[in-house]
Amino acid sequence: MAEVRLEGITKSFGSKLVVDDLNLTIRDQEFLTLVGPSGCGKSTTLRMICGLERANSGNVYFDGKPVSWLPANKRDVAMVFQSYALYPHKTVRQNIGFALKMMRVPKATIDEQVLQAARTLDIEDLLDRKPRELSGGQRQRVALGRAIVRDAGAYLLDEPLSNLDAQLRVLMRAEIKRLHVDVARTFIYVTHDQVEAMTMSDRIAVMRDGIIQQCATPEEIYERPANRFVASFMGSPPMNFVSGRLADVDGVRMFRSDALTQEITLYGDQPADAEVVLGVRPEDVSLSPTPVAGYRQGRVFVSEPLGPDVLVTVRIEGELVKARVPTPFRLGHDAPVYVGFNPQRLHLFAASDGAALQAPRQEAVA
Amino acid sequence: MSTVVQVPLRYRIPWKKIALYVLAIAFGLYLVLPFYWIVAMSFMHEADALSVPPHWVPVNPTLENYLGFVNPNSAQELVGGRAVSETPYSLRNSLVVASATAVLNLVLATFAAYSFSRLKFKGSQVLLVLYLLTRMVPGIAIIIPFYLLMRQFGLLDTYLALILSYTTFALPITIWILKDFFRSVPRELEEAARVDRCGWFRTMWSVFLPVAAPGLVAAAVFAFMTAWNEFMFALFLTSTKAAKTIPVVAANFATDFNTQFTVMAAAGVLAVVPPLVLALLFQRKLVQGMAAGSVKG
Repeated sequence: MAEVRLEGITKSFGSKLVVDDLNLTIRDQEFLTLVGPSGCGKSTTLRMICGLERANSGNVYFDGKPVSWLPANKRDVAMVFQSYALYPHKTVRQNIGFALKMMRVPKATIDEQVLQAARTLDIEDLLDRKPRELSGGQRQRVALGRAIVRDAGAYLLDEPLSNLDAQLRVLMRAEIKRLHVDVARTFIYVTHDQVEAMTMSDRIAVMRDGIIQQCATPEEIYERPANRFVASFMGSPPMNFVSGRLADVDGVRMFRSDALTQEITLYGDQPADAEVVLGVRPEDVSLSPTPVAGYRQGRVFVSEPLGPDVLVTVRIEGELVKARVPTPFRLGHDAPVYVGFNPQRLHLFAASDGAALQAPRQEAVA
Repeated sequence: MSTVVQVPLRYRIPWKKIALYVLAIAFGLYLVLPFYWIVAMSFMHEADALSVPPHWVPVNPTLENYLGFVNPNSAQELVGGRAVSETPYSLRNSLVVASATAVLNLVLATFAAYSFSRLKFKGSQVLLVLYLLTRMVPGIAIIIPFYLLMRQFGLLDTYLALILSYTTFALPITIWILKDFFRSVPRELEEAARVDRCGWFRTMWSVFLPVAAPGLVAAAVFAFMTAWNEFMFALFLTSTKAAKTIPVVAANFATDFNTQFTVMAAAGVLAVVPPLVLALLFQRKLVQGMAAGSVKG
């Protein structure tokens, strides 16, 4: 059981600043995901938590105790590596039991715990094989087994699913989430896959250039992204952005761009002429084959069926807007189509720094 | 009226393939025949061995030539007697010297190679090249200083003189072999071991070295062979059966006026056996895929 707290962590490799004054508290038994594009410092942060990397400044605390100067083998953590890092010369049984052996746990207890972990992961029949005889998915399970067999304070997972095929990834995603519930420990998970982050986490910390952009629940991140980066990174397909300006027309606050004019019902204290970016998620865009009041005309650029939905890209005055509409969608390429934005679900960001100026209202969140 | 012209399917003689096989077989024979000949000869009587045309297979096979090393008969006493009686000792000497060289090399090179493969430090590249440069100096250029040095320390005609010399030859190459090998061992394995509560020594012993075993074996075999085959330094630094190695004694056969070829062949076979056993023993380790399955494949 452990609460992990990072306080003012800074790390650079040579002249490259990788993590910049990072503050984060991961609660006991929480599933927290660090997510961000490659090179955003998420893996480095994880490595500093487990002691494989030392911060240039700042401190790491486990349950309030500073551990910054403890090497990895003295910290109470278990880790799943992206590459699995299974010991090739040891059997699955030895791989899973290795940490316990190092902790001088009696052999009978090791055997029992290894078997239990193997049962949890459904790899009992693989215990006497060597890693090279396993498939990718099986190796991944063994790597997980090596972590969960331990009674560690925190479990660190560094992109554990990134080497699996899409189908297996979906399956393991659910299994890891369930595992977290079963073992009831602190999980810190690193991924660049926003779907993994959204589906598995209690909270998500979105990182970019070594800085946490926002740390909140998946719903909060999705509904009220703190800035344009979070808005674009979280959500697939990503949010549509249209650059324009605020304008007051007949006492009504409007958003105006070359392509469209949109009434804004909520806004921050931005001056009337401020440069802003309007954001709308594809599922908040509606399409109609016939003109509707308040809809703008565009033309179908391309449509991509996803099964239950169709992802339609519409060109409006040179801007491409993606809409996610229910199947069926029967308009062909270049057919005229009318596009409307759900006014309750609009996001507004400052053009200068991308900070969120407005997000859907709390009560709009279903 | 049109006729269909039937082109008979001509069988083409695969000259290219034939030539390839002929060359391959010829090259194989070139490599294997001399060795076969000394093995065959070592089981022949002297008269059969020298007969013209030669007997390719021993007609009256005998173990006499081998038994002679333990219990020389009068003829063997007479011709090349000293070499014959020294052969068993030289085999023992060679084994001790080569094994010790292999072990000492392995220990020193492992530490050095690990540092070169894992740590970044100024001048590491220069050092590596420097190590290799020492191997560019011909042995003959340093044999006299070596001799004087060994004499000064009272090490002439001892195992230690040979082991120290051979270690200086083999070490640079062993470091290079291991450095490249260690670099190919995924760093995550060590990190995983650290997270699995291993200290540095335990990480090395239980994870890194077993994974690097094929490289270690290759390096050890290399050092063993270097020591086993070396002739010139052994000739200078040893003088009695206390430390003479097999190449020196084998040379004695050839320089003897009355060389008995069959005994010489038997000595040759004996000289090949230890390295051969070594190679067979570790052959699997040598070719084994090193880290197969450890990280994403």
